[in-house]
Amino acid sequence: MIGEEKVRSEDLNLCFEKLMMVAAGNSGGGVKRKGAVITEWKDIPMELLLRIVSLVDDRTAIVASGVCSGWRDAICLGLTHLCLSWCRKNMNNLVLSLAPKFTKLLTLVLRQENPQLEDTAVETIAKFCHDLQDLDLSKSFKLGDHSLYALAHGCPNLTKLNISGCTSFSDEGLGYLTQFCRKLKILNLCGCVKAATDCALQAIGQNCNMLQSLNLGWCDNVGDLGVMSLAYGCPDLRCLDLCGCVRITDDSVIALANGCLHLRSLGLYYCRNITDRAMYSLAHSRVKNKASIWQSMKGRYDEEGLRSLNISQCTALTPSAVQALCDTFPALHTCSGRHSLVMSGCLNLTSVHCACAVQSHRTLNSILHTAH
Amino acid sequence: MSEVDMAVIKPEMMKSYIWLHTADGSIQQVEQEVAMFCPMICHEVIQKGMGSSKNYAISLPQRVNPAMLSLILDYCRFHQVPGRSNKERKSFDEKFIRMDTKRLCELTSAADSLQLKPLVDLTSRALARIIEGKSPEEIREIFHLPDDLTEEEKLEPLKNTTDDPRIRLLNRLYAKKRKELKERQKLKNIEVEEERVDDRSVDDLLSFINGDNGDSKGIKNSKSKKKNRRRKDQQKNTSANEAIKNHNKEPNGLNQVCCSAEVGQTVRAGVGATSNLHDVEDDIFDNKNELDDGDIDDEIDPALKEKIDRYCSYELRKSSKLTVSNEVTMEVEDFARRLNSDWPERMQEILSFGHERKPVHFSLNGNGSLRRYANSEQR
Repeated sequence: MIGEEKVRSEDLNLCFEKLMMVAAGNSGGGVKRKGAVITEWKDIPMELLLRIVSLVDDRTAIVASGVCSGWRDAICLGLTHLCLSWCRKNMNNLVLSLAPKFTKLLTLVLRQENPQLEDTAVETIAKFCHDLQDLDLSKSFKLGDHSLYALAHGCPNLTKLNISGCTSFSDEGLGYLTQFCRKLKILNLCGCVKAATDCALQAIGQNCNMLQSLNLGWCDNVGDLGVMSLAYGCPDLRCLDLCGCVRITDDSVIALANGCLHLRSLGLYYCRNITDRAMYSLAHSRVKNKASIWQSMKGRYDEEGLRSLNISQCTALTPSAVQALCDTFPALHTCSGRHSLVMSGCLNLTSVHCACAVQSHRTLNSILHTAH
Repeated sequence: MSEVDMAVIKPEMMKSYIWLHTADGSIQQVEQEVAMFCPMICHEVIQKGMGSSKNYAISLPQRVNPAMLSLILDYCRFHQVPGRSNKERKSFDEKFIRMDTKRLCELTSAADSLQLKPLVDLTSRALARIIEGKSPEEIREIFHLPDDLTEEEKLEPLKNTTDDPRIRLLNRLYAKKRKELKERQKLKNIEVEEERVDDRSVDDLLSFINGDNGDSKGIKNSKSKKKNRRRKDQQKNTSANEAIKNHNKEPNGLNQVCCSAEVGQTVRAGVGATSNLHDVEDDIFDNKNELDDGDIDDEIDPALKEKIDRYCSYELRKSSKLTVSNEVTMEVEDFARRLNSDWPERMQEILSFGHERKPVHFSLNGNGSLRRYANSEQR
C-alpha cells in the first residue's frame, strides 16, 4: 500500500514541481514565496478594483466577488453590468444565487442558447435588483406571467426590456407590466404571439408614453386597433417593426404617420394589405408637419424623417407612390452604399430610385454622351 | 545636488527640477518635464507653487513609496518624450509591466494615487489578465487576501467551459499540495484553525469524489478525459480502501472533519441553509471550478446520498459548532468505503492521528507522526 502511494505521490510531486515552474513563469512568481504578507493590497481602493473587474469577463467578475469580504463588498456595490449568456445549463441557479448579491445592477443580459431560466429566477431579480434598467430575457421559453408580475412590482425603472421569444407570456401579464414600468423606452416583443395582442398594445399606448422603439415582429395577433392605440399613445415612437403582422392595413400606417412624427424606422415586411394610401400618408404627413418638426427639433440631426423602410413582399404597392415617398424622405436610399429602402420581392418597384442613384445615373449618361 | 550647486551649472545644462518627498521622509528631485507628466504633481506645481525647493517639496500620497516612485518616474521619463512612435511606447509598456504581482499591485496603487491614468490603465489590464480564469483560492494566494467569507457567502460553483481538463487536473493537484503545505505549517498553531484547515482538505477530497452531481446546482457538463480520471481513481482506490479498513475507529478530529465536509456539501445543495462553517465552501467551489468536466465518478448511490443529506441536515439543525457523534463516525466510514473514494496522502495522515485517540488532535506526538508520514509520502 505504501509502495503504491509512494508512486502516486511521486507523480504528484513531479506535476507539482512542473506547475511551480510554469506558475512562476506566468504570474511572475507571485505564488512562489510564502513570505511576508503585504497588507496594502487588501486596502485597494474600490474604484481601482472595480476598474480591474470591468476589464475581465463576467465569469471572472463573479469569481472575484467570492474571493474575500473586501472584494465582495466592492464588487457587489459597484457591479452594474452583467451578462450570463455564456451559461449552458445552470443559469437559473446562478441567477438565484447572484441576484441577492448584485443589487446595484443596471443591465442584466440573460439571453439563453437553450432555455434554462425559470420564474423563480426572475422573481429573485425583481426582489433584489430594483435599480435594473435594462433586462434581456430573450429566448426564455420557460418563463410565465409570474415573471412579468414580479418585474412589474420589483423593477419599475426598466427602460429597456427584451422578451423576444418568450412565447409563454400572455397579454394580461404584459399589460400589467406596462402599468408599473412606465419608463419603458425600448421593448422587444418579437415572436411573443400570445403577449402582443391589441389589448396589450392598448395598454402600452396608455401607459408607456415614452416608448421609442417597439419590435412586434411575427406577432400575427396585432391588428389595426392595437397599432392605432400605439400611435396615439406613444408620440415619441421612432422605431417600429411590424414584420409579419399580416393583419395590418393602411389605417395603421396612416395613424402612425399622423401620430408619430419622429418615426425613423418602419418595418412592414410581409404586410400584404398595405397599399399606396399608406405611402402617400407618410409622405403627406412629412410635408404637412415639416414646420412643426423643425421647431421641436432645432439643430438635431434626425429632422430627416424616415431613414429606413422595409416594404418587402408588399406587392400591392405601385412605383409612383413609393417614388413619392423616396423623394420626400432624403434619408431613404436605394443606392448600394446606404440601402435603407428595402423592397425585395416587389417586382414592380424596380424603377424606384433615391436621389443619389439618379444622380450617378445621370452623370454616367452625360459621359457616354460626350464620348460620341 | 543642492540648489547652490545648480546656480553654477552652465546655462546649456540648466534644467529645472522639482522636489518630491515620499511618505517615509526621503526627498529627491526630478527633472521637471518628467515629473510634470503626473497630473497630481502638475497640479501641485501649478496651483500651489510647490516643489520648487527642498523645503517646499511636494509631499506624495502615502501609497507611493520610493521604489514605486522610481518606477513611475521611469515610465514618465520614457513617455513624456514626444518623438516616440506608438510601437515603441507599446513595447516599452510590455517590458515595463513584467514584474511580480506584488509589485504590480503596489505600482497600480501608486499610479492611481498620482492620477497617472495611462499607467493605471496599463497596470489594471495586467492585473485583469492575472485574475482571469482563476478560482477564488488562487486569487487569494496571489494577492495574499484573507479568506474571510463565511460559507453561505461563497458563490455557487461556476462552469468552466474552456479549460483543458488535464491542466485542471494538474491545478487541482497543485492546489491540494499547497493546502497540505499550509496545513503542515498551521499544525503548530491553534486547534480551531486546524480543524478548519483540515475541513478544507477533506472536503476537497470528498467533493472530488462526490462529483457533486445531485447536490450541487451549478456544475457538470461534458465528460472528456473521464477515462483518465477513472483509471487514476481505481489505482488509488485499493490503497485508500486498505487505509480505511486499517482504522476502524476514527478520531474525533476526523469526525469533525468529515462532518463538516458533508455539511458543506449539503449546504451547497440547500439554498438558504445557513451555517457558520468557515471556508468549507471555498474548497468546494475551488474544486468544482476545476472539476467541471464531470470526469469524476458520477454514479453515486442515491440512497447513500440521501443518507448523507439526512445526516447533514441533522448536523445543521444542531448548533453552529460541529459536535461529534458516533453514528456520524460510522456513516463516514461507510460512506467512504462505499464510494470507493480516492484518499490521497493527506487522508492517511489524518487517519494516522486516530491512533492517538485524544481530543487534542494535533499534539506534539501527532506532529512527530505526521512528519514521519509526510516524509514517507514524499519519497
